Amino acid sequence: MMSEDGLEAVRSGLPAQLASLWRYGIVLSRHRQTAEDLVQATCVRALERGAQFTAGTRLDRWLFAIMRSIWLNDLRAARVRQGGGLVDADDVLVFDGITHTETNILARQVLSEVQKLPEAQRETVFLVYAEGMSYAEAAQALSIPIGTVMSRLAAARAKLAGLGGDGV
Amino acid sequence: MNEDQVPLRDETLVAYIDGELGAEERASVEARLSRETALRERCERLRLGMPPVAEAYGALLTAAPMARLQAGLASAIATTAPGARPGWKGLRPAAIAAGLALFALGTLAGGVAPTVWSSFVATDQTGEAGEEAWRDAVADYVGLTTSQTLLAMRPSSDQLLTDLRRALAKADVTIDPNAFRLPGRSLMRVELYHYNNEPLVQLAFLDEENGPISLCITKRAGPVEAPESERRKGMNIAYWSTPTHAFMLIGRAPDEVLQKLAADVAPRTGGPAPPG
Repeated sequence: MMSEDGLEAVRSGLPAQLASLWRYGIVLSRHRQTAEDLVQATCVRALERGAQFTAGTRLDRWLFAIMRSIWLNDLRAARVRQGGGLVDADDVLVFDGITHTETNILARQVLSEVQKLPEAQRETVFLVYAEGMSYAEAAQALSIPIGTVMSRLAAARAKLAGLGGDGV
Repeated sequence: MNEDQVPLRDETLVAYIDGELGAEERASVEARLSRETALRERCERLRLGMPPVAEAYGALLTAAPMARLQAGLASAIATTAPGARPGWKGLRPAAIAAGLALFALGTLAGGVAPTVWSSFVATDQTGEAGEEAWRDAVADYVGLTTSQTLLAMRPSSDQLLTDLRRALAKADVTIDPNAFRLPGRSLMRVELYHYNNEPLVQLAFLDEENGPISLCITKRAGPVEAPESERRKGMNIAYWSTPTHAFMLIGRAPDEVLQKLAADVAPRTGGPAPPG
């Protein structure tokens, strides 16, 4: 009974999620082609499993979980084997077509700093500070305790602020 | 034990900054911050040292290659629809990704379905006439290519020639493949797409000084036009057309470099030389 609704909600909701899925793909893989592959694979899997989606709940979170699982289970190992290095944030933003405004220069600097963080910290920072998840939501999305969310954020913020470890 | 003797960790400070502490814990942190100068300083540094991450990632959102993502979604819908070709439906995402990579190698053989280049751009987003829309779509796509992209996977020159012949044949281009050489630039990859239901061929060259330069061809009946230049999505473009096909050279190379190449290549493709 739910299933038709779920699939329909996925189908109609997917177009509006493509850009944020791609961005999450960039955060996970730091690689544009891989990010696009991730979006593609996520769309396929979401449509195949649309019946499992509960209409009325947050589609973006559900899609993120699918992408994350594809990344961890299927693509990450392959990507690591290929030795995919850092994506230069310049590369990611340079094609936005608009001339390099001040905002974009700042954005590139920030992204290049944040994207250098270790994967676990980077992803947590992204989910909490860019996607606006609460600690509890991030913990659920990452399948980790809230305490781990806190320590990742603390480590990332100390690093970004140019501070050493705990000041204790 | 006096609570001031318990070290207050960054975790707690950051959670405090983020508004994630319960009322009681927050009050306790605030009490200590008001008493302990060093703690207050560290808290401020953690707070002020945070770059504008939300804004930066917001800017990244605008850089998403929408035309290709939409095309990917359209193809996902087609392949997962009931009655879709069985060969695709059961594929694991990794296999799909591998398939994409394989295609990017320039392997046009073996009935690999060409990537469907979206027609969304042509009709929905820009509102431009088809004439310009194809250049817009190409600019969207080619803007993603870097030198590293081209260097990452390099087919043999035999493979390239085979790919090129095959791709040109699909687009009904009867010109000798050698006509598409760009002096001083290496052909790195040939790709075949569909744009508005017509084949679109991309020859990706690497210019050591200016990065990737692509020569794109699509089948399109229309007036003969001598090379002209324009700028789209941060890329320079030189474009011309013959009665049957539209051509473009696109890259981050300076306009004069592309114009020079266009003046060289256009006559060999059956297009008119540029005026003057």
